Amino acid sequence: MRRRGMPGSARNSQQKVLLMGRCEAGKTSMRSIIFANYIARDTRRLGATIEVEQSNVRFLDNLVLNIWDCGGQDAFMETFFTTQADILFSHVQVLIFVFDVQSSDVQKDLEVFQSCIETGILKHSRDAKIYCLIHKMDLIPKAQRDELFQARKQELEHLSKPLQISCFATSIWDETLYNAWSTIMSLLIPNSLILKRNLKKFADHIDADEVLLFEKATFLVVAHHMRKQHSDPNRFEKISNIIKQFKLSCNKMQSNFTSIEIRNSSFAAYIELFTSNMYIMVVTSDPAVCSDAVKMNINTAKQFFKECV
Amino acid sequence: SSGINAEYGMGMRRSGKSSIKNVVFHKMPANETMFLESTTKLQKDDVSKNCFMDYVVYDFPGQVDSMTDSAIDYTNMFEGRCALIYVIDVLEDKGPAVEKLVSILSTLDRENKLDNGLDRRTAEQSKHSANVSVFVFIHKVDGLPDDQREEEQKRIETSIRDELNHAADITLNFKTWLTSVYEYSIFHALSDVNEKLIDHLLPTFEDLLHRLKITCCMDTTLLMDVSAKCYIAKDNDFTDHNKYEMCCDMLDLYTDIANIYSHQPYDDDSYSCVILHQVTAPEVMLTKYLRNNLILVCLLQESCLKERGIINQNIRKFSKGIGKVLQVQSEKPCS
Repeated sequence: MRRRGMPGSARNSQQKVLLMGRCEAGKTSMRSIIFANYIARDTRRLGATIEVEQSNVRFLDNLVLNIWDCGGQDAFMETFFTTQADILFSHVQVLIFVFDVQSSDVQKDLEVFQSCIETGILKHSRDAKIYCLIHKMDLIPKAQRDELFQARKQELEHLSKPLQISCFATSIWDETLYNAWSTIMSLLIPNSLILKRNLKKFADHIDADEVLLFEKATFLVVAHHMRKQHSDPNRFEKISNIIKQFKLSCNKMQSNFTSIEIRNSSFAAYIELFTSNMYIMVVTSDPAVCSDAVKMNINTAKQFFKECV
Repeated sequence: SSGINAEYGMGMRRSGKSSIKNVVFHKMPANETMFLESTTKLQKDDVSKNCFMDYVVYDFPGQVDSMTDSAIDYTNMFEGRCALIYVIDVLEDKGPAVEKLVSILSTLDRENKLDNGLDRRTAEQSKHSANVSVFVFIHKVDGLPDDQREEEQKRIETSIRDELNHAADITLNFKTWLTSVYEYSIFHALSDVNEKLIDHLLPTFEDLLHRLKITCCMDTTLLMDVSAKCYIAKDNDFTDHNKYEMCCDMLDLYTDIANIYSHQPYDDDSYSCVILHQVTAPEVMLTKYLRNNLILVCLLQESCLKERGIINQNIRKFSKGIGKVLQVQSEKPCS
């Protein structure tokens, strides 16, 4: 039975995402790594963003991100909250504000953020989801990171009242960047509930320990279902990061992988190209589950998932 | 693994010896090496727990005059077949580094230990003579633009040769490598050092690899060290360094995912298979863990996968062959 369109979801959903933060906070680097296939070292070459750089990124089949990467130099930011406020801040679905954790002027950072909330969001897009990324955490010694993050988080939550915000500690040098963006993206996908439900059915059917779905270009996790407990709650973003690095390495040789099988005596993992814009990863630890059977099941499921995304 | 196949890292202060050790053997990401503190005393690090070779890295503090400092015990060093890896920071003044290298080499030369490297596959050499192969790593080349690198390399080589001749009357065949922990070059360089250290086993390994390649219609076969990602041996026609780098990344992928889903990433059943689509025909990268931290990496066409039964059988035989070579090797008195 063919399903025509899912009730209540736009066939093609456009989401306006504002990426803001002061000069050199790391906004363009982040965007390049997640969406434009840069590796962390390449971001050294990026220059300052002039005014606003707009880019459209298609994510999965039915989501288009309209990303407004706003230059952080103070001169630009002045106009953003005055003459350009209307254009910039209307119809915003997501605001991502990036803070350099080692900023020389934390007070100014907070003032700019406050302006953003008061003259921008509150006036023009009250329903926007707000995410604050405390970035460049790799420059802080591990022992101090948590405390510093919690302190900043509290300050920001206070400044943005009555609006709700979510905060993340991030760095381009590890998986924390993937964690933040996976969370942001998965809340934007129009039919994520249906995706999750179908994934659960699939996982139960084939007796898998867990099943993950990744978006093909960014390798952000868009849905997952876990049937067996695992000790590491951060493994999803680690896997995103790991596979993305390998993908970039293959791209350097003008090639791309379509299938990966990894096994030892305790587990087997299968990563397969699933639909035109998703990869699937199936993990099993049951030695009775045969490798060819898993691959056949994945193949069969492809058709079904194609119709519901 | 057998014998003492040691690699000694020497060089001036902050030339990068510890970075190399940490990135290659301790899986430290390259960007964290900036935070490593200067080594202030002689550190012996037996990193061979997960390696095929018995690597012992001696990290000398750069500021000590290594060969004459009486506080350091040299009696057990430079015994058996080993390699001296001298690390020179390409961004610093080379004068003092070259001077120190020459003084170390003259001490070794006085004891007749320097391997002139003229013939790679000479028969076994006795324990006390001509057993030290010399390699110079011209390090931190990521800080040099591409077009300047070769020039620097030639310049440093000439300067070392001249100084050796002039100050110590030595002519020596040593090898230089341009390296950086931010690139694959360090792995290429260490692979070369490895091949030199096992050059008595190399013909046998290469022969076995070649036979496997031919019987299974594979494009390339490699033996790699699972932990250090250096290759120990390659089949005779292997020249594509880019493919080697992709194999390194494949091993990283395997290790990282296996570490998430199991306690011990490598065991007898460790296996991975990646199918790649590219401009030419689809290619497959197969890896199979053998023994003693050795992993077999094969590159073949996807169409060959049909014969998976035969491939598995041949790999099993190959593994047995490698096992026999290593067994014979470990039964020898000392080499």
